[in-house]
Amino acid sequence: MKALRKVLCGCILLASLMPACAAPAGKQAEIPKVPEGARVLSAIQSSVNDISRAIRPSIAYVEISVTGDRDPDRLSGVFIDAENNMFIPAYLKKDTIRKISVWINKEEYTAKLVQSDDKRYMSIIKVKLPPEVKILPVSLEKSAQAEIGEWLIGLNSSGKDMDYQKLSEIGMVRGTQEGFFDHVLVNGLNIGDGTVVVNLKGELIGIGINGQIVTANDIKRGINKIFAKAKNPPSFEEQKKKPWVGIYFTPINEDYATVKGFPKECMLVEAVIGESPADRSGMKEDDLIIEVDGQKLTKSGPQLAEQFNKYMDAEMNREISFTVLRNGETKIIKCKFEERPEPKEFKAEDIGLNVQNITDAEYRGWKLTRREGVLVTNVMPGSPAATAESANEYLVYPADIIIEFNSMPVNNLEDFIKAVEKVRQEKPGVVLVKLWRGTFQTIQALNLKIGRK
Amino acid sequence: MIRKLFIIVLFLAGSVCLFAQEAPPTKEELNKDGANSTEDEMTELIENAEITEEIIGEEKENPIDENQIDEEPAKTPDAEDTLIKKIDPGVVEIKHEQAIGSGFIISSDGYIMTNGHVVASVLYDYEEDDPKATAKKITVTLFDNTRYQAKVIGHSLDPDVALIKIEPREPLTTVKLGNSDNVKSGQKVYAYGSPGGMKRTLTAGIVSNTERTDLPTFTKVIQTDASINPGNSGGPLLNEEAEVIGINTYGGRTGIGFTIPINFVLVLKEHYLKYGYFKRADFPFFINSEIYDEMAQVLGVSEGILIDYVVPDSPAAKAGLMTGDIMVELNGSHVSAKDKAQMRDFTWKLSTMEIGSTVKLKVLRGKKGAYSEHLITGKLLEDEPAVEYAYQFGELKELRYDDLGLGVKRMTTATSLLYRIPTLKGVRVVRVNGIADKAGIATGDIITHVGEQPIEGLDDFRAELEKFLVKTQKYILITLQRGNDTVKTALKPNYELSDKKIVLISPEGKSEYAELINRFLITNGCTIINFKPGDKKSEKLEFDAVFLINGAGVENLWSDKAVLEIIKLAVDRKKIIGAVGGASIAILYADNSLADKKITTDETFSKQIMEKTKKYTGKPVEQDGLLVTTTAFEKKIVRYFLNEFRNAIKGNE
Repeated sequence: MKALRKVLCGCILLASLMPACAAPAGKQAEIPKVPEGARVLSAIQSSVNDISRAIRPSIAYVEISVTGDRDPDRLSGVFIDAENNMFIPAYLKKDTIRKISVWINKEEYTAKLVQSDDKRYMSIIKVKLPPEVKILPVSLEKSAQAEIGEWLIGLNSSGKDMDYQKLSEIGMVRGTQEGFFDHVLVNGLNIGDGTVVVNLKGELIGIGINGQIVTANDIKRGINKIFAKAKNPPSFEEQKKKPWVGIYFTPINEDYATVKGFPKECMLVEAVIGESPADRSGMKEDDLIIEVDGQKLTKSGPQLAEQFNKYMDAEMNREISFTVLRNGETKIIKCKFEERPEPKEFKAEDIGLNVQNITDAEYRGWKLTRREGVLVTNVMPGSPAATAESANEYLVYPADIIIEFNSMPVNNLEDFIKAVEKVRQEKPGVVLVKLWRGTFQTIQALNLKIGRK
Repeated sequence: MIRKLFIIVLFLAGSVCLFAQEAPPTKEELNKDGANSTEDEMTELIENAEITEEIIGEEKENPIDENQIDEEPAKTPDAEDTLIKKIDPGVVEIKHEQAIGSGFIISSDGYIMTNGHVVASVLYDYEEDDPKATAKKITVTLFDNTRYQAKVIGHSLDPDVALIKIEPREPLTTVKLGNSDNVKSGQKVYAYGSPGGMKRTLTAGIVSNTERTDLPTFTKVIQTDASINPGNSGGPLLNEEAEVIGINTYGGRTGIGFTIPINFVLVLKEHYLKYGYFKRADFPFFINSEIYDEMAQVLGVSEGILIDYVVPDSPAAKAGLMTGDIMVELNGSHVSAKDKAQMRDFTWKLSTMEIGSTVKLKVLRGKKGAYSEHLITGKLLEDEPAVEYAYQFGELKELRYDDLGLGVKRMTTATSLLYRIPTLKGVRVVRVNGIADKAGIATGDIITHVGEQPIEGLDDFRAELEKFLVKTQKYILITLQRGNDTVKTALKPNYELSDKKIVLISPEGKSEYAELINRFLITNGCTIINFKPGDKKSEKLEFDAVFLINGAGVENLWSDKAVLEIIKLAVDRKKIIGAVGGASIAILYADNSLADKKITTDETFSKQIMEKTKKYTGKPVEQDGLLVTTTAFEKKIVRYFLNEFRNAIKGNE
């Protein structure tokens, strides 16, 4: 930055001095080789050239083929260490990868997936290189933050059509944007997937993901998480688990906050699901979350949601601490992300119903009016439960709560399963179902002789 | 007793529908104005055709050949010709600003039956807050093209029937009424009306079904494949004897049309004549269903009506009716429903019984094989106004604060059952935009508190909210119930006229828009100085605008000295003058110089205004310089006027 300024100042100084140093009267003034204004551009050109030359060995063109007829994905990758590990902005699944190719000095090499992060859309691949091929990893430690007005250089790797050139461009920082990722907003740069953006010192500012420049800090954080995950890869079952703490939250309404004297930058806890990690740790409905893991929430309204999600960083077994305001007092609530419980579901195909117990989550999510009984989550078309007088009418509907089946009271799933087993043994032609539908009760008679699969 | 509507809601939502995809389109289709320009052409064609047919008819009536064997007279085009002759004078076209439909004359002094949706304004006006409002200017055109202004005597949107009246110059030819109980599937029927605005159109078909219940309508309906298209609404369905067996109501699809049986229509006619609306009886509140085959097997009874649910603490519950009872007799008569059609018939029967009369229900109670009989005695009360569902608009009026973007309706038992709301306290949010949207309020929410005050119903909601608005309270705390969550938020009204003083001049009689205007003024936060003719004008009267409104006795404003002085002051001080309806004429009496400004007024005063100015435009809302006036023909126009009035005041700094 300073170098360019000096050159600029020098140029301007020279330019302003020139007339004073005009050739002595009578002699023809020598036409300078490069016009004054062009000196600035020339300085820019050498900056870009120098930095591009320095960064080029760190980036490469990547092609990823996955199962299916799709054309391979094309992007830029950047080497991050001496072990030939490369960062790419993509989410990949091991079982669908056909081939990952990386081009260095116009030669094709293969790479293998180390680990992928679906939330952040980042992956690390390891490129299989012969010992004589040397790459230069980019320095993640020496990354920097951009300032408004600062000029940055972006580098993109291109494929065969562009002769594997590393394309360079220059642009000016116009601002930043905080969100799930922090972005640097730069005028004039083409942001492709994997575009490396550096400042005029050659320090990494960010990398392009999904059309935006994600800051080096966020990239670093993502890479660390990926390596950590690579050390302890989650099993297939683990991957299916959805991490949660059990709170429903919403950014506080700003006008309401003003009236009540609450901070606008907080998350209102709308509900705490019973028996959840948050519940056990003492979180309560109407608590106002002002900090997550010691990081203060600084946004309000809809923008807060993204910031909060970023800080929440939901991950199985991750420990998290919330700072909440409750009745004017500050409290720290510590809990751990656990698997979000999926209530056990029972499918009775002969009747045509999927049912489950009613937990807090269902009570709130389905807006139920009672907790006793079993919740109907699905009715199978063509089944006895789905056959009424009118062609498109059902006898039982999702969100119904069954409280009696074939004269047997149903308070929970076990009761219902017992009742169904009895029906299967005794085989009555018709069974009576008593259920709650919202705020009223209804009785239906299901014909079990019809609608069989 | 609450009808089992809920299932049908889902049916409409998810099914491959026979008749309509979404809510209003069907009804809108039925009444969209067709190509008006073709009307006259087509009428001519029909008229010409008639003359030709007459000639042919005459010839056939006078057979010449005596050797001709006597045959069974074949169903020749004669039949239709005779039919048209009988029916044509009795069928009318009904038109208002936004729709065309049909109707038929049932009395020579001008009573006409048609559909409710032909005269209701809620179908055409998204802004309409009262589902029971009717169109303002309804014109009836007879078969001979004579036209009359009609008055609505009574109407309902479900059952979709209306009774209107014209004042004919001569006694009219009526239609012959049939008996819809005798209608049979397969019999030939005719529809007559104005499809696409083409008057006096005859279409023919058969009865496809006599008791259709797939539509969410109060009664069962007749289904026909006679072409029924937009414009046929309200017209008759006729049998071969030219007797009216129903009112054509829903259609627009090939081969599928629905007609409300005439027997129901005639009962409704009596209600409209007596009460002006369908005054339904109820024994509140229980939900019942038909005992279909499987139910009969499992209950061990084949006759009767199942009482699914009795609402706790309701009169029916207090009278001893219980969930699970099987009703077998009503007032000594056997009652039963095996299917939906019979169920609707029972609903109709109960709803049309006399309010205040005693009901005796005999019910079976107990388990299969061990039932005991019980007698439940109670009184029939008037049913609550119907709640909106599917494409039915219901009967509940919306209390709307336009400038808050908030509209609410009162809670009813049917609302709590249909929309799964476990409370009857509070008001239900039905419309949200602007300020209310910013506060995070959503439709379906129940407002339970305004400020710290719990809300019972519409009246205290209005009272509490307006207490704050009158004070131009910056933030108004609102507590809502959303499902099982309690949500607290704050409304922040704009109070766009908070620094303005408005002199509100009203005549003795209340304007029909008084409430709307009052809500507007309060919500905008202006200071109101009320003034009536006869009041004394204060010496130091300061104001930013003068607002003259209409009402009975508006002519007194034109001559009241103090009123005219205030108007003159406004002119001198260059303040905005707004006037609703006939009140605008006062302006011309106050200051003649305003006779060069464009002005409008209530049409009934057009003669009087034209005596004072040549600049009477008759436009719904007129603005010229500092004058903002309106005809106040209907609510929508007044709403528009209020916006213009407000903008004028704000712009006149």
